[in-house]
Amino acid sequence: MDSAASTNALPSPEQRFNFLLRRAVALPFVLLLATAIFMTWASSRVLSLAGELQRADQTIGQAEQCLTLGVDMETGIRGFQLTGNDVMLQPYSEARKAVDAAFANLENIVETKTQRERLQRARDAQNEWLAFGEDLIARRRAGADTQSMSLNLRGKELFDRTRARFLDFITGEEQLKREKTEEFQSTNQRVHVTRILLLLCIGAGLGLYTRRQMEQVATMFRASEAAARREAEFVKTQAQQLLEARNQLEDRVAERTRDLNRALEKAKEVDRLKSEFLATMSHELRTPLNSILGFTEVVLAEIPGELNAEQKRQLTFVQLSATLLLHLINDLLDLARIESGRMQPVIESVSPAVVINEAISTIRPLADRKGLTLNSELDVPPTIRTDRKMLFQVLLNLLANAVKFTQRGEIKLSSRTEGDTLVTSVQDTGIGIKAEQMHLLFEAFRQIDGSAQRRYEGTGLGLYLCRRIMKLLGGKIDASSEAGRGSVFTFTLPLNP
Amino acid sequence: MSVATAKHILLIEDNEQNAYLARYILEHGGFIVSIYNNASAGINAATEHQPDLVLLDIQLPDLDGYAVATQLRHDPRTGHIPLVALSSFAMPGEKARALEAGCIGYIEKPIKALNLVAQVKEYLRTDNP
Repeated sequence: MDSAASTNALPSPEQRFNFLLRRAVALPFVLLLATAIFMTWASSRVLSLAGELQRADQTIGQAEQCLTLGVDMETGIRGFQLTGNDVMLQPYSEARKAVDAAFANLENIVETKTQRERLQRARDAQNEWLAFGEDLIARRRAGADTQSMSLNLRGKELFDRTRARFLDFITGEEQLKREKTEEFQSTNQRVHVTRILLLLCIGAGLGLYTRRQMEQVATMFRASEAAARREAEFVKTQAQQLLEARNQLEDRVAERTRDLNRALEKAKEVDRLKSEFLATMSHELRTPLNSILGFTEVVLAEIPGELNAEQKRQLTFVQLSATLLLHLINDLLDLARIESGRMQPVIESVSPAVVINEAISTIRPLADRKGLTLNSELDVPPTIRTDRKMLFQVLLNLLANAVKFTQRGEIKLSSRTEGDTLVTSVQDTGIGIKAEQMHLLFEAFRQIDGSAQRRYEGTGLGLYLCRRIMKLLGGKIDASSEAGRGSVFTFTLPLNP
Repeated sequence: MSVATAKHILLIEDNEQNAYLARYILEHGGFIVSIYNNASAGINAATEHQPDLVLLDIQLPDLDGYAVATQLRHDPRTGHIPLVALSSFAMPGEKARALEAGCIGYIEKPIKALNLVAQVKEYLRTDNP
């Protein structure tokens, strides 16, 4: 199938869906991680900048303290100079002790080379001023006049230089601080901007990505929908075809049924026409025969007048021929009735002895006329279940045949019970039947010894009718014969069919 | 047998030869016979002449014998006249149909010419004991 092939070539819809889902989750996750890393870095940078700014403030403060300490020392020196009193030196001594620590402190926190150089230069200037100051102190202690104009100018010059260098350092430090502040601000700003941009990017990316994913999902959905539609279409087509096939089949069945019904109607019609034809034929044939036989009988009875011998002889032939014709018509009619299934046995309680004796008395005049003996030997039950008329017809046929084909001797009818059957046989001493002709015996329109002109009157239908009647009655008929010695016809009937 | 006591047989038969045969035999047997070759003429004659017996062929040009029998049976003017069917139809059930239509007898064709007179006498006797 097509769908099976495509399933093998591409990943299953479920696999594809899982893949898309993983991608949809993984990409935003990676972006989130990158953002987090960037923010961490930016935060630490901002923090470090903040530290640096704090340090710059410390540095400036420390430097200003150094300046203050310098002023304190200058005040002390100046007081001592004026008074020569050591008490006046106290601010100097305290500041002198603190200033080294302050410098050490500054040296520790100053980072840039330029600032260190500036600091060094300030330190150098201060040391120079301090050396000058100590010299002044020593000289004052020694009692020298230190209030000279030149000394004062020298001292002021050294102090101003020191202060100027400190201010230089502080200015440098403030410059640094400004720079750091700017950097801090710009970094902060950049972080901010970057964050907004990043968020925008992520948003846009996610939007695009999601859209793509959605499109893919939609495509997949559409594809699956289309597949489902195709499947539905296929199923629908199949159903349609099935329905059409069914309808065709029904049509065909209906057509066949109509054909069969037509055929049946036709067969019924044919059957009806056949029986109508038979009835009509029978009637039409019997109507002229009625005249022929009737007038022949009347004339032979010499009712209209006396006949001479030759007239009588010839008229007798007319009578015989007409009678034969009547028998032929009757036999044909019976045959047609049997063939069409119209002749159905009427099963009733029948006394075999009565029927047999009736048949014998009907035939006896014929036998007597030929000088034949006609005997019967009966050992029969009082009644059997069979069709009386049919049994009579068969008996009459066999007895008439026996008389017809026997010139001298005896005809013997015997009937006896054998098990649950009645076996009846008619034996004659007639011409018999040749073995090779036995098989023709019960065929229609076959009279044995048909080589010559028919010596024996008959329709050739009698034995065939007997066989058909026996079949109808559930019995059978058989013959055995020896040519020139005679024949035996035996029929077997069920006592209770 | 004197003319005064002779029985009147009405024969409805369309075949000329057969009608003549029956008439010849029956007249020879002492009956008065009148012949009609179609059903309506036969029915009219039966009503008018009141025969002692009607011999009725089953196949007639205008009406079948059963219908004639039914009609004669149900007419009060003819209902008392015995009817005997005369038919060359040899299909089973013909006799039963004839008796059902109101015939008291059924004579099959070809007739036994020399028996006809006796048969008719017997039917007359049966009907009028």
